[in-house]
Amino acid sequence: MKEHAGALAHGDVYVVATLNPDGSESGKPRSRRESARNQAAAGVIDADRDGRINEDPPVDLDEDGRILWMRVKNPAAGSGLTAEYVVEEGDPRVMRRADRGKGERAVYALLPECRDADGDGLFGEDGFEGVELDRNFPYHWPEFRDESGKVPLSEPETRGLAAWMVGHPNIVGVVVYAPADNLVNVPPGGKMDETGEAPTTNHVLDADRGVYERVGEKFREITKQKEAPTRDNEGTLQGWAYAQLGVWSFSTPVWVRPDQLKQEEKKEEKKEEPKAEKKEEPVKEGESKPEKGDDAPAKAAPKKIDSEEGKWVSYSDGLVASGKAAGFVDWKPFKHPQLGDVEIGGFLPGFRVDVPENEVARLAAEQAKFVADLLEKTPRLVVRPAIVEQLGSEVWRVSVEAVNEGLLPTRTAMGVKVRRLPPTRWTIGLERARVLAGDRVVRADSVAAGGDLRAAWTITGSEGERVKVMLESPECGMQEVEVVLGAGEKKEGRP
Amino acid sequence: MRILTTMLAMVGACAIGAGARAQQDMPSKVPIAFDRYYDSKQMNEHVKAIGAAYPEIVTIKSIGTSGEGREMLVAIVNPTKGGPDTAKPAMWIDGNIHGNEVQAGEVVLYTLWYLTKSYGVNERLTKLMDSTSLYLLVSVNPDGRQYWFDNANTPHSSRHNRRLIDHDLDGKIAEDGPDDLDKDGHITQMWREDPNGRWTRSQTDDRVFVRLRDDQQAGAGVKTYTSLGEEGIDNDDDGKINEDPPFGDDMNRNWPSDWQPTHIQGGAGPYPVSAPEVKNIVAFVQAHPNIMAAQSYHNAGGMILRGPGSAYRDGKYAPEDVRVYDELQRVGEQILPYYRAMVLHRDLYRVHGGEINWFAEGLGAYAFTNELWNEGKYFQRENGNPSEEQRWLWRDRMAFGQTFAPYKEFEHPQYGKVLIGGLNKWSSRVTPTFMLEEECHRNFAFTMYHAEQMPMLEWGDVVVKKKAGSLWEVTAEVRNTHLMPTRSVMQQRDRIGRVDVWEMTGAKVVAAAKLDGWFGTTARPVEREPGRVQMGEGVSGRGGRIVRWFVDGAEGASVTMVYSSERAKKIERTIELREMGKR
Repeated sequence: MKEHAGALAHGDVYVVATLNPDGSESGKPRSRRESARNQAAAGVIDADRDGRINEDPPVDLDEDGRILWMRVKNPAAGSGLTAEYVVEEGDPRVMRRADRGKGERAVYALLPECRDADGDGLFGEDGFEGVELDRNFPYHWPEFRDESGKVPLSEPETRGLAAWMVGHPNIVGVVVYAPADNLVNVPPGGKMDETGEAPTTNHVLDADRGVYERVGEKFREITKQKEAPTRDNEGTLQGWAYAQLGVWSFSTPVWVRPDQLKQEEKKEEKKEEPKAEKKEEPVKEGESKPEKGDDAPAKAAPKKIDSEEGKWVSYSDGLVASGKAAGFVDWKPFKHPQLGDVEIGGFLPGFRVDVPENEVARLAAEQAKFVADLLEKTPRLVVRPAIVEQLGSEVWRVSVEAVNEGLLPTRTAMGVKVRRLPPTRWTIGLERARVLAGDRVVRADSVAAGGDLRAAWTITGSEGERVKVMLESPECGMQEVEVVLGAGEKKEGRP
Repeated sequence: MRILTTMLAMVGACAIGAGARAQQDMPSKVPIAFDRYYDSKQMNEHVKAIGAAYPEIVTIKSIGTSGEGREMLVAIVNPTKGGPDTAKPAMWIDGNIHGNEVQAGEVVLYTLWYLTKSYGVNERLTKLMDSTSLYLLVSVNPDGRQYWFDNANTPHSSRHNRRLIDHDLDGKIAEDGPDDLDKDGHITQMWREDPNGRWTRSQTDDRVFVRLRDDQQAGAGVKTYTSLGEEGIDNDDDGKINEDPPFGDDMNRNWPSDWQPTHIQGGAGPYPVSAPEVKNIVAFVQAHPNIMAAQSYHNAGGMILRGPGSAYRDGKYAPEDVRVYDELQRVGEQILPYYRAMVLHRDLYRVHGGEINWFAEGLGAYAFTNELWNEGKYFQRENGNPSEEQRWLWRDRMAFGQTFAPYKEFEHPQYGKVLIGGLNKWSSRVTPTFMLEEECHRNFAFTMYHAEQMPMLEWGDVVVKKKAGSLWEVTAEVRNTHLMPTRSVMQQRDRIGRVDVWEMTGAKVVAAAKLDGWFGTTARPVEREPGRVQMGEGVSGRGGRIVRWFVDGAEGASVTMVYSSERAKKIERTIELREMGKR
């Protein structure tokens, strides 16, 4: 962080390292969903509404210490399962939903490693799943979905954070490290929801879109990401911070698959940042030549599958080729107590989300750089010297100006719309009776980047009097200027 | 003091009447007069006194405190011999979420008072209390209520809670509200003589300000006036008067169904369930999944309102659920003259995050808001739109001038000489005290009708046939004799609450099927767990459900059926495996 020390001169950074400390510490094998969600609610959600809680969780059937996936070929009519998947031609490890529109017949049922523990015909339908905190915020909160919680901000983690953020009007931007991206996938603008007053899911106001584009561009330049996974932002911290707090709000999964990075950067980067690049190399190597990998585990070289699933399998193969642990476990036959012959395998929990350990330093450096750049962009109101003119024996005109020298407006267009905070304002410290012309308080909802807020007052006063003028902004703080009413045509005050 | 003396006299009268034992005379161990209003402290004292006097009927439970630390007491009406309160269908009843809508509190207090004195005396209410649980909260907004009594207010102020906010966004909170300039204990109106004014005072009654039509000029010598709004000065020297009044969030916009931020829904609060009062209730209600009905009392206008609060949620109300609402509202209009059945967004206004919206749409319960008091009740004739003269007749002849503050001259720091006066906080929204008890009773009666419609299960026919060897066919019907289903359509669609479960134990259940009727219908197989049939569809109102079991057991063996639902009292029946019944 040392190289970005200067950035902190532009603003404070509040960090919540993990909003879900309980979920990240799970002792026994858990499915990805189970460990991603919070634990407080895990003991109370009756996912299948049958009056029994957590009675049918995913189970580590083959006792290999992890919960993987189970695929069932041509599930029997009475099994309770329906086939919805086929395997990809060319690589039978990779699953894909059958395209019924093209008359394709589904062959496989795909589900987490589990039993029908309660004999209700549903497999693994009621596990230790709590609330997904990033669906529990009040913007377009997905009602009636277990993972969203019973009410918005129902969880101690989310409610605590929301209350704290509401109490900090100086927050101008939020960066969320979460599964959804809105930096590579720049949000579209303009479309409103059913109230007509808030942007619809994943959208921002047109007026804010330019900033999202600029910030996203910088992000892509720093991280080299050209693709990133995204999803709707309903109930998310990112969506809430933008649409209801009205602050800049960004979200990134931080790490993406190597093939989702810009490839040509390689040469340039070697010149500019050889240190950071070296760490990446093994991964990139593996990725760029998986087809050569005759040391890969598969017998016949599998065909590269162009789906997301296929790319992840290829990535895993590449890891193996370069001597690293696989992220995809080959399907192995298993005798299921209820379903008979099945196969267990698939992606390791978290493989497609968790940052590989050897990448942490690089990614942290990238994000620090991105945040430092954001901090440099934050709005900064700089007060220009005041101008004092004498208009009559006891009558003066005081003119002041503050310029936003940051690269972001003091407030988002959404922030102006939500009317949550006082505007930026100049106030002259005189009783109203002494202000002959001009409002005592001069306001602007938002001061554009490079824009200004000016105020001028015609006041009464005697020569030599000191008059206080105040600039206040929830985002940029308070600055006081003392102006001396002096003789002569024009005189500068002391900022 | 005068009002207090009246109350004491009433107390005496009650005590004397107690010996008569007439049908209509059900003395309470806690005499409370309902021809007057009580502040928050007195309210809680009454609730506690009833709890202490009737411990076998009612339990008083604190669900937390308000923003200013007032205790929120829920009275749980559940005569102990009926078992735990959560084993019965329940109704939530509250009032006064808007602090100024005071009579809402008295209606809930009256409900508690009348119920407790009726138990064991009145057959119908006794049966109701035995078969349901009632959760009563006299005031959702005790802080706003207390502020309304203690301070100068208009009929409309002190609606909100007391977590004050910065309405004019000047960085200072509630620094410029109305002021009781003439120190009469009320916030009334200010008028100023103004040659360009568009109002005159009536020649026959100078309390009446008459607006000039656009094409009218005041006659020679007739003074004209301008309305300056509510009594107040420019406290913060910003050139505006009363622009930052001392009130906070509207708690009836803070609930977690269709909540929208303040730029869309004024008063909504910083986030849903931000108000501690709302949070306390949400926690209590979530711990009581047996709640199937809810009533929230407000004033004014005479309305029986149901959701939704916005048109885009109309589709959530399925025809089957609307039928329940319709019937309740139809009866309500009979019990409550001058009240009209209405749909919130369609007939009144749009509400996001309203309390009954959460009860109805978030929990799948049947919920109403009643807007208490309609001025039609003054004359009790079909004069839907009384003239100003008629209003003055009742203000003078029936309220004896108590709702009006005569106009006085006042030297205003910004406006100069003004007139201050007009209708006070008791004038337009609060039920006149002489009619309060009737208002309480009629609304109480409506709510009890509502509570009586919560699902009630009983056994219909049970038919046992021998199929072969030790295989028996048992067909049984569960009937719901009341209007509300055990699971509303809202609950079914949105998967609210656990499904009903119909169990059979005591013998090996081989298979089960659901029947659509007794005659000529198909049997839909229950594919799993035939001994524990999941009834997501519940039992519809005034309807039944039939399940057929195939049971393997010796002749004469007894089997037990249990039908359980979160929102109906469980029923249980044991039968023997031998031929019985016929259909």
